[in-house]
Amino acid sequence: MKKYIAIGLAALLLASGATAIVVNRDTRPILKVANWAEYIDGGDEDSELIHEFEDWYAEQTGKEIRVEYCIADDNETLYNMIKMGDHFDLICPSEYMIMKLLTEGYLQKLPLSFFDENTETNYYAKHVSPYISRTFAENHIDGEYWKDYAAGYMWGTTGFVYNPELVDESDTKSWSIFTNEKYAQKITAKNNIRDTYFVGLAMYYEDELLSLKSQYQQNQISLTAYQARLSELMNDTKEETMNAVKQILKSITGNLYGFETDEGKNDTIAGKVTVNYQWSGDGVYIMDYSQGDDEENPVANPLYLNYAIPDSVSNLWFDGWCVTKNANDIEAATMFINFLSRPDNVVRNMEYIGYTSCISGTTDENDPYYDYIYENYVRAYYEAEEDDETATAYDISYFFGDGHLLYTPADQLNRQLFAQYPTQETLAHCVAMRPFDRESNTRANMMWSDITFI
Amino acid sequence: MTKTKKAPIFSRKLLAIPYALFLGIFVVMPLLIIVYYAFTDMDGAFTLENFKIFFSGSGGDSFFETARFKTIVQSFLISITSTLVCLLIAYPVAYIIANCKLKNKSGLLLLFIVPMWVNFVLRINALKEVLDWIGIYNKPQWNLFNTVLGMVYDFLPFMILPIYTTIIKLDKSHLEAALDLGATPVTAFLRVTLPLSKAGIMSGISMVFLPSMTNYVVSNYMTFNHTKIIGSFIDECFKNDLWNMGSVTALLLLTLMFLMTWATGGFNTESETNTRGTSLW
Repeated sequence: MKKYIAIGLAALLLASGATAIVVNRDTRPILKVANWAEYIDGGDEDSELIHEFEDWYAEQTGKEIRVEYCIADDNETLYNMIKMGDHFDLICPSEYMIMKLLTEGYLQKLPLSFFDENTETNYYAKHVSPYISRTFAENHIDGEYWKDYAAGYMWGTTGFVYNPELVDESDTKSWSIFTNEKYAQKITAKNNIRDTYFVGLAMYYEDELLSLKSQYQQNQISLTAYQARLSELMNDTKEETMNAVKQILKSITGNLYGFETDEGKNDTIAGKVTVNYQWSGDGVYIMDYSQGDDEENPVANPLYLNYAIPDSVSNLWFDGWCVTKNANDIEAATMFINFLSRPDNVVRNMEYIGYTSCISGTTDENDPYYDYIYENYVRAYYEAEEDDETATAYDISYFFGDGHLLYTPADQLNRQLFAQYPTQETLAHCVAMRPFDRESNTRANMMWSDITFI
Repeated sequence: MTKTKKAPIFSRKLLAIPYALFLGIFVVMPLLIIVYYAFTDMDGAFTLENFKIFFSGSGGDSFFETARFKTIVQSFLISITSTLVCLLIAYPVAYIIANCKLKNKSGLLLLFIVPMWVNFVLRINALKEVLDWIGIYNKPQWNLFNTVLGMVYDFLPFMILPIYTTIIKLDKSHLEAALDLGATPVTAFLRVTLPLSKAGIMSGISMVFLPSMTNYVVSNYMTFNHTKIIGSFIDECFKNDLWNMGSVTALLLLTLMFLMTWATGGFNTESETNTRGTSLW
């Protein structure tokens, strides 16, 4: 008997020893990063950019690091992972989840050294867009400002990707397009409570929102006051408002093709959906793809699609890098952000992902990356040919700094360029959504199940 | 040390340890966690509030008008229909394969099992494309039909296999005796084969019924998120930080299933002895 036990134990020891050897072969310290799928140049775990970061980090610090890159499905999954005790050093949630994690104490402030523009490798501080840094400095929750906790990665709006041959442009400017019978079974909404609640709220408050807008345009109220009021209205979770929104949303479900998350992309490209409520980055992807001019991805029926943002209000969203409270290596985490914010890497990321980076590139002429993104991305993709008679001036100075007036083919004003860099005028009526508090979260989700049940 | 009676190195008790551990960690523990969350609030204090919220109406609707109630009813309908359809298809198939004169029965059976080797999400996606091509995909009046079709498509092998294994093991002498004593083939089938294969049918039902009530991937894919079953409700609860509500729903579903199994006699061991053919009538 004892012999068998001894043999068993020996085998066990051997086995555990063997695993120890396998695990310890790579002794480099680990930086654990969580991000969305297909949200970095070259795809996910085997992204070339991540390996380049490891090399760059070693070069800069003389220390080794290994990035463990994890994919989270969505903000809610990421939140549950963190709540269940999964350890990450660096995460990339959206603005409302940043606020939720912040108020629940899962995040820590970015170190002050991260914002020092005199440090050569502080690419984020040097190259972040003035528009983003202003927005991050203005928005706060419980007295804590976004900028102290998050470094912007990608950003955008929500709007309609539509086929201009079949859809009136004017219809896409109002949220009532959802009840427009002309588009019955041809229009989609998002299959999550937050995006769809926003639609319901916008329909509920549409008249008030439009009158607010005209007050702002006639200079009766300031931009700050206008946006504060917008934010208040679009984050209204009072019970009576929710009940009214519920009735509105119930009335649109019959008109919908369906609620979708990613499925809508293919159905829009295939022409089954003619109005797709979409995040701007995916909108760019759909417009690019459905053009059918990419030889590697031919489409059966090329479509020429547009992107529009309603007149009254729309959703403004950001994904930002945050260092978690229990991060092991804050230096490596911030260096990872900086590496991804280096303008040449920004362009690589944008080309791969199709979303718009929060980084604009510096306007300091002495910087080696002076105006790099504008020159190598925006002009490369969107500048009109010299003989293009439709060429129109498009001002994106708010994002890239003064003097960035781009001459672009006129149709880009409704297409990829507009989806990637909306006008400053459009952004005035775009607001971010805050997280639901506990009570309204329960109520919202009970409501959601009632809406989606047919 | 005496060398008279050497006890086996691995006694039954010893061998049971891994299974007991497995059951404890992967069956009992999760259940306890569900019970814990069902009876606590977000701060971890004991409460019955979750049940109250579940059974109360919302936004002016009574509980019976809420989607929760309708979802439960709809899930049962889908689940019962899918199970019945599976049974109606699977029994003849299993019977025919088991009784066919072919030498290579397992080859025939394989034809029905092979689809299981392909990931079910892929199969469902393929089926979706076929329905789209026919023109009944994402049409409101077809949603329920498509959901049941998807469930049957997915779970049919789980019904065929247990029935097949029971029928193939049947003692032919019982059947021969019935025929010798003057029973018509139909009577013999109804009074001998069918009762004897009851165990297979029951196990098939239990393998199809519960999954088709909660496998929301099928209903989501087959109906473009239109048709909701109770599984999708639970999923949305957990996704949106409502673990307590999700646990309550899961617990209620579990209780309901338990009651149903109990009511249909799923817990008595009689059917098991039947398969061995020891007590026939």
